[in-house]
Amino acid sequence: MSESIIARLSRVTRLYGGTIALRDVSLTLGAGTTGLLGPNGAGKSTLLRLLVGLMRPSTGTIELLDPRRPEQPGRAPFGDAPSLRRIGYCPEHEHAYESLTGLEFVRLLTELHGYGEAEASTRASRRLDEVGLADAMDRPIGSYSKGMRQRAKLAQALAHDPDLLVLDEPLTGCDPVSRARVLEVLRGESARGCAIVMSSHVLSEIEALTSRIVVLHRGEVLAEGDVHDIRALIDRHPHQVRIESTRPRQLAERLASADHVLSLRLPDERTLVVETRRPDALYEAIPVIAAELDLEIESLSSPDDNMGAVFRYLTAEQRVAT
Amino acid sequence: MTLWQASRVVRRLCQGELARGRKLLWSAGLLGLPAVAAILLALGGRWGGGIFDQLLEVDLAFLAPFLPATLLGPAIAEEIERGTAGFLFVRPAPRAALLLGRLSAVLPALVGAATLALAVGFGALYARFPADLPGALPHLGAALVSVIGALLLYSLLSLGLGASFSKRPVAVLLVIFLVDGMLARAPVALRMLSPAHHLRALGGLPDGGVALLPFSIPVWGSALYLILLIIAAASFGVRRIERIEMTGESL
Repeated sequence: MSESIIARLSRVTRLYGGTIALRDVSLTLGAGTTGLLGPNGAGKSTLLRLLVGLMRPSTGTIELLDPRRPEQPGRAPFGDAPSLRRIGYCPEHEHAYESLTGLEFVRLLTELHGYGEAEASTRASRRLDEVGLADAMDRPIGSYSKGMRQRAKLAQALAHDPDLLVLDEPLTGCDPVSRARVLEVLRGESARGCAIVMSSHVLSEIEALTSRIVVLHRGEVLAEGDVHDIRALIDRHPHQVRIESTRPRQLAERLASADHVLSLRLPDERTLVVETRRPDALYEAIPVIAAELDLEIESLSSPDDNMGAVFRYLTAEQRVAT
Repeated sequence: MTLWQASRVVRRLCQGELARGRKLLWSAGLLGLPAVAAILLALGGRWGGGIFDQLLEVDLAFLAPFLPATLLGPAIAEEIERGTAGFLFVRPAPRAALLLGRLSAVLPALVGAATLALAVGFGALYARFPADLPGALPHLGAALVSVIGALLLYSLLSLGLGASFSKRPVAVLLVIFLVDGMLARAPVALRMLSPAHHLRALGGLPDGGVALLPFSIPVWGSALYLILLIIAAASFGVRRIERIEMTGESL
């Protein structure tokens, strides 16, 4: 986590009636990009709405901090104009003011940050151009595709140059071209020092921007940090290692007696999938066994090296615990 | 950013939507009905201030509560439900701008249509007796004040209640009609609480139900009461909107 903390959530719980949407969440967010991962209903949107001041926590505190003024205390964002000036928010829903053109939409919302019409118009045009809507900015939003709406929403979140950009599933519905454009813009914002918090339930979307993730499940933070740190957290849980070999059956027979091996599978005649609690021990054992049996290891890979597997492990852990 | 500046922006945001749905046009057209009726009655040989008072009753009893409730009752709740209110609430502008902006998008058109309709109806009903016209003009002025006051009051009530209860205007209408209707049929002392009663008094319309009172409330008393109600309705709406949380669910 960056030293310059932008937002701090301390023991935040949010209830909807009797339903717990977030439970005792403590987090710090700094410059750079943070990915918020979790399945639908994990509490991602609730956390983001709390962060941008659309809701108040039932218990706990949320503070926005200004790294340029470290002497100032944190401020709760709900209804707080100085905090809201620093926030850009791109909601998940598709709705906008359908009869307005893209330019009017972004310009008017930028005016609500206190800019005059001319300045807001300049900023809106620039941001719409950046997100690839220069040719469509004079068309009504009602005629936009889903990807174009996403980009228009991103433009309105960026037009006032926020310190903290909060994006709720910003790539949903984007075609590959839109997606590439959005990612390029976000990388640019991150490079200029903007803190970005982006939610997604599709891991590759987060992976394309950052390795710093927070995993949410059933309203709780399941894990937090770099994807590799999270791997360390889950080391006591099974890792899968896929081995392609000329004689996988013999290899399986030798590995079956190792105490760290939990299961062995032979999905085809050249592949062995090993589930182990200690991948380091497995990686040490394989060359030794291969030499003893004189068999060839054609490839060795761990499907767990992608974030999807990390997420599956963590949510599985949660299910077991509950 | 001031409330006034923010309200102007919100008005521009929602004006296009109102124009596209033609709701505002239809509402203004409905407010023109008393004028059409006055012209038809005048052509049919019926004239005078008594008929004008009946047309004013139509405005005060039906159009003034009904049109703001249908136009503004669902406005805030729809913005919450669609999520578009979130675009406004994450900005450093007063939240009350959502209320004032909506009001300023709708009210001028309604007031304009009602004023024009009453003036035209008045002219048509007095056309046969032009000599009586100057003497009756204060009554027209009082009628306009009462209708404009009614539109303002019911608009604010609709916005405030609409942000509190339901996205549909039915709830707002029910509350307005039931409360006002019950008060209008209530014993004399309670009837004094009814906005409709004071609006009618402001418009110079007789209310036989309170003739038995041992005292009379002057017109300025009614005006003061209505001003207080308008302030209360506006405060209620503002307080309500400042507390709204965008939970992603409807109100």
